[in-house]
Amino acid sequence: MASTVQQSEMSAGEIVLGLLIEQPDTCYHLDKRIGERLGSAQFSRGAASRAVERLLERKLVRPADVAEPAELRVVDGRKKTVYEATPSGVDHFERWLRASTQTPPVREELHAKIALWGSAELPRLIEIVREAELACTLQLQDSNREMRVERQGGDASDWERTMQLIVSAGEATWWDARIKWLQDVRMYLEREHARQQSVAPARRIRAPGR
Amino acid sequence: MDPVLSLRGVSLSFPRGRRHVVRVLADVSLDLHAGESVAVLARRSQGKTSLLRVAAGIERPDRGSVTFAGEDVWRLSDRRRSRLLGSEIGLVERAAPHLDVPVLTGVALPLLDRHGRRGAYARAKSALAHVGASECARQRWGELADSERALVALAHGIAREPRLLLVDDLAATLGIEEHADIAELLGALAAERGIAMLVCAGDSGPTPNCDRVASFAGGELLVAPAAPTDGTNVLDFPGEHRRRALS
Repeated sequence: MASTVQQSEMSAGEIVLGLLIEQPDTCYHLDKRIGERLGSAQFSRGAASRAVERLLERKLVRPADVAEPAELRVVDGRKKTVYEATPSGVDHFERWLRASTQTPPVREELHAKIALWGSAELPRLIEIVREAELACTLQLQDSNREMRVERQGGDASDWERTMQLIVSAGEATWWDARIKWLQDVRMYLEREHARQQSVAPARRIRAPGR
Repeated sequence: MDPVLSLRGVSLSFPRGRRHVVRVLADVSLDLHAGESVAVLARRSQGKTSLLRVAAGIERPDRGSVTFAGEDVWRLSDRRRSRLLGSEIGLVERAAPHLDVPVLTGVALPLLDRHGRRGAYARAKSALAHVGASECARQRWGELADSERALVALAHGIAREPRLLLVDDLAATLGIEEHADIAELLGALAAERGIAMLVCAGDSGPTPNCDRVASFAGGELLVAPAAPTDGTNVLDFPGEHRRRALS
């Protein structure tokens, strides 16, 4: 299960797996595609080959049995191996995609799910975002409670209390910002879902009436 | 014990143009008990004010029920319902008052018909003292700093000793410390006076420090479940220092 795997390492693995399910590819091109789909800030260069190594160990991907020589990618005059997902790799990816995100929700993980999700199952994705939103409200509630206890803090000096207040306020602000980001994401996905569902009527409305 | 405010499956939409309907509240449910505070986090234009107006019995929802102290608000007579607001339900907004009078007079005005001149002024004074804004009594709204305005608005809200206080974006423009003071004050009001509080917060400013937190977007209210009770009363923190300093 996802929870046994390291956070960001895991996301890189799932992303590479998702991209290989879409289309078998070399590590070199995978790096490029990660950049295109998720923005280059997310992962360093070479992240794809490290992810592929781990996926190979877990037998979630394998070198593709490419018959056509033209499909063997050549980079800098050298032939590169093309990888593809194994059936258990496809299963694993599907499970990951539909699973709730971790608590606290990792932005990169949710980001990856959104980037790799087909538009067919938006309701499940919206549900995942909703769960993450609720998880964040719980975290904020906790940090609120801590802040109150700290402000009570009997023996602490004024300086200590001020420092505690600043730190706790920072944490609360962080959760607050995350909640609002998730709200935006959910609203966007809901709008997208509504748009998909109303494509036909929308056309009718836009048809010139006179 | 019955919740002070109970929303059940409340939905509200507004038509926009002829073909579109804006969903402001979608199947919102919430129980708010005496002495409990809930912070609602939402972006601008997400229907925070509509939520408060529905909770206050000003706006009638399309569907669902609004129950105040065990009574369905929309089964009450218009007269009784409109009396709830301003007596048992307080709505705190930071809008400038309509009359440019000294703060104390402004807070006392709505109390005049029920408590008489002397009583109204006494209550207004006590409300201002309670929130730590006694020094603002003679000033006018235009002379007040943001943090003082927030306190005066709160004094307006509690002067009539409501059971339910609805607070709209009070701490929006405050800094960490002023905000912490307001948060502490709200918590103390909830705990000491047993007021149920629904506090909405917008884009700007820090999160209100309430017992429970709810995320509000697209008409949906996602309320985190109540914190586990581990023996410590989270509301039991000193809200005294401000008042002590002024008395």
